[in-house]
Amino acid sequence: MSLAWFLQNLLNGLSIGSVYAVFALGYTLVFSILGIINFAHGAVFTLGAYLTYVLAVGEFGLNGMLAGVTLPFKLPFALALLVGAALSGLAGVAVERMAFRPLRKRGADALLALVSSLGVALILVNFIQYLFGAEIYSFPPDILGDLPPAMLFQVGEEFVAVRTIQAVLFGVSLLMLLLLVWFIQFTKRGKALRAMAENPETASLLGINVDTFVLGTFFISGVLGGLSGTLIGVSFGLAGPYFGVSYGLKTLAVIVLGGLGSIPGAVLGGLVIGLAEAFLPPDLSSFKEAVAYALLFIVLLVRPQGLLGHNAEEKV
Amino acid sequence: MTVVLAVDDLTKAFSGLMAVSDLSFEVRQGEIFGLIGPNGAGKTTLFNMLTGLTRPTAGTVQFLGQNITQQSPAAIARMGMARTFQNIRLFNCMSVLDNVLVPMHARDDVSLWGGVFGTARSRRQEREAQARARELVALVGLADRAEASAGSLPYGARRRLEIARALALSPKVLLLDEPAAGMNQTEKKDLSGFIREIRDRFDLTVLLIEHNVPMVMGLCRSVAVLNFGQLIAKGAPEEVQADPAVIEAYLGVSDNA
Repeated sequence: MSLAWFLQNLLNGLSIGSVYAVFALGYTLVFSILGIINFAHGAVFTLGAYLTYVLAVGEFGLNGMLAGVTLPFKLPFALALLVGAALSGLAGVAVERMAFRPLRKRGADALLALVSSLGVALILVNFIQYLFGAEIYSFPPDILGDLPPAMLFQVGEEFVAVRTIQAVLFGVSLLMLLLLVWFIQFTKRGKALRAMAENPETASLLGINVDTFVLGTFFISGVLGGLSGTLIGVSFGLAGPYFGVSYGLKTLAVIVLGGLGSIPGAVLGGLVIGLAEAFLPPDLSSFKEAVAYALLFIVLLVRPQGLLGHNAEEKV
Repeated sequence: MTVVLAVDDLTKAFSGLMAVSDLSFEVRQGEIFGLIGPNGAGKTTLFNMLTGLTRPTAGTVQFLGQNITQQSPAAIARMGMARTFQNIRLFNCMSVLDNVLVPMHARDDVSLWGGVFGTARSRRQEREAQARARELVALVGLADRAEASAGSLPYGARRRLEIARALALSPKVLLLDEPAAGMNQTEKKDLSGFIREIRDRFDLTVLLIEHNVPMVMGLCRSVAVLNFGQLIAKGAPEEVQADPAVIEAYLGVSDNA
């Protein structure tokens, strides 16, 4: 329990936690304007990781429909990450058109959209499995080019390792968070989005085209999902087409823990769960997946509305 | 005087119940047109149909000579139809000024690119929007509360802010749904003066739902009376007041005397 041990775990926790936060914000945005959890978000996360993998590595693996196919090009990782995220954003738009809009137009119960988004998630995951196979994909170790895999810092007698991947995770996540907050707080469209989150009907009577903004929100949410999928994938590998679904479930704990619909809540929730996992004693590490939910139940006992949740009013 | 709004055989049935049936009337440019009737007469349903929130079962609405019956609420709003609500609906989490800016931004035509990268055009538009928003906020007497959150305002100020926000759409027609609800006599008198003032200043046509009969009689030159979704009288305030059907609707007496 030395200082180096503490710093190492803090670093590990913050870097993974910041990705959880970005992923969680994708749920939060959609929840803010539609009041619905988009269960397809985990599938978009998977899709983003696979797309970036293919764009950066140029190969489709050994088992799927596209086995043996190679792309005529390989993008540098940063570009593959961007293109993968943009394509994930389009997948988010497709999810809205398939799972949400038809139900919204006939004014159906929000519960139905839950079921239809779960359906879209399963279709998407199966489609990924069909194309890419069920095997585990790992980004090659030199995916970040010539950067050294880690830097060591001496703390007292010991060393703290900053893995380059961790720095990328944290840097990209932080950048996304700042961009998102700037967009929502300081741009016109961000203001319109806040107005819509508060009351879509009133917003539409003031000339805001609600459908366009819903699509835009799903695009941003998809970008956040695809990006975080890639970041987790480059760090821990792509453990089959279902890996996004389990991260998706964990991240549901993040948003409920932080306060449903609250942006600061999603960020805080992500960091708290990232840190809790990092500080879990090594002999309990096989229970890592349960940490998020154990923490969730403890928090809900004390603060039923989540750490930064409001009782109903404030969103986005 | 040109007809700004023409409602023709407008009907709305909610699962068999006729909320509005075969309603026809015309509103002329510059008029303050009163809509009165007991609770549940269909007045707010009519406003919802005019603004596109509720699709009529039958009939048409012509706004500035265009059939808007199938248009979306956002499209109708952009054409220049603005409204306030019986139960005030502000964006409570946003500042007073931002509430007024929302409809202005919805109307401006800066591209996403221009908005994000702050082109000269988008910055100029934003400056103009800010200036106009401050003007409107000042017009309703909230200049010193411009940065306060809308949710923190007292009741009367919230009513006025909602009107300022509606004016930010640069409307041709303003629909006011019981704007005097919860106001005392002095406030009601002030409100009447204010409605006249904005009508003249912004070249508005006003549709006014109001229970306060003296206020309607003072403000409006034509009045329509609804009861159970049907138009039972229409005309100048004095005529309408003397109409037996209206007296019956309001007092519940049959006129077999």
